[in-house]
Amino acid sequence: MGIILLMNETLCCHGCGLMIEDDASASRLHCPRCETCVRKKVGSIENDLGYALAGLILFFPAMTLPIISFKLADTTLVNTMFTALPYFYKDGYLILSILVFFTSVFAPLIQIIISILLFAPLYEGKRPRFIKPYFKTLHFLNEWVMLDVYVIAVLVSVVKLSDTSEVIFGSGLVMFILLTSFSFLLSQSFSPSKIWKAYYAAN
Amino acid sequence: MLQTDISTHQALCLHCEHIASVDLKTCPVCDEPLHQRKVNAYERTLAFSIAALFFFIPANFYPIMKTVSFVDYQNSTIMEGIFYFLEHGEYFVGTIIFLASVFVPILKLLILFFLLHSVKTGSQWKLSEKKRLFKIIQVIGKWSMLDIFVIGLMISLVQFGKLAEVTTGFAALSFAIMVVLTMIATESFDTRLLWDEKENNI
Repeated sequence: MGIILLMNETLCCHGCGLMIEDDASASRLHCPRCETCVRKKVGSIENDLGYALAGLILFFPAMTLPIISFKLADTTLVNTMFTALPYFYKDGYLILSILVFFTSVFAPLIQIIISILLFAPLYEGKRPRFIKPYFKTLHFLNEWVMLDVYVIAVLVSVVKLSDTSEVIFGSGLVMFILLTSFSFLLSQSFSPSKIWKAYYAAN
Repeated sequence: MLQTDISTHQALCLHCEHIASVDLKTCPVCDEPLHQRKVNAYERTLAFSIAALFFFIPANFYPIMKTVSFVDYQNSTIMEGIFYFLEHGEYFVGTIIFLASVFVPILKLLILFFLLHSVKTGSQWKLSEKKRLFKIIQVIGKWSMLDIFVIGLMISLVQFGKLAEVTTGFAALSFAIMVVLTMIATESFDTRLLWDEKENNI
């Protein structure tokens, strides 16, 4: 039943609500009324699984290795993804430490884990057991993963501190930038229709 | 006449992109509640935008970061931080911070209020351009968090006891709340509302 349901001949624009005839030959389709992209070319499930696995491998080194260090008068302070959190808490802003933890550590990790749990069975042609909560979480998290913003924040801090004293790039920085790239690719190729088509095609 | 989901009595499921009859309560594919438009989109967007506007005031007038060093004690607001960069010739970083923490938040709220006004009056002026404006604020929304992350890096890298120390200011909290509220407001808005008035008139 599901397979038939998903073979829509018409598409509905989510930007303006216009019903559009689907043109299967086109890889991208734009709404004639509001120019919203109603169908885009996205990578396969296989690609997504690859990004997620690469992300998982990179996640732990990126989070635990120092990203940048700052040297002033014989003291060197090292920054990893976690070091800021206790300081926010100490200054009396628990919400800030939760927010920073959520957007730069928790959300990417959950995004990667759920992607693996979702795409690994689909790739093997099986149905994942809890597709609805997985799918919902993934849909929600895409908005809240802010690793790319963090990369620019590192850049800004380096410029800010570099005229005071020496800033040393840590080994975690490379891991972190790679993790950010894979997480970005994962968010970009997220496509509800692709996932549900694969789900109903599997048995 | 152009056919829309309202004129054909259908609803698009925003979770799985399936199109079903509007009479169904839940989507037949993914079991999520099915609505033709996002629920209370106008009211929710308005409420969250106004709340965000309130937090914009403390975010800009309270110090966002306090710097204590053996030579001086400095409370700096967002604008003071930007001027610091410009005075020191760091025009690139100064511009990034200005765009991310002053220009973009104001722009986002202005665009949201403009779109809400447009929905309210049923204005038919340049609808697809308005839609594009919405798309822009959706994409740049999270970039306002930049300043919060910079503070996080600063407070963890500059902790040298009496020599120099950086602590968080109240503005950081207000600013973060404002960014989150604006993001929720953006998510609640439904651009299809812009076109709806037109169909009701035909």
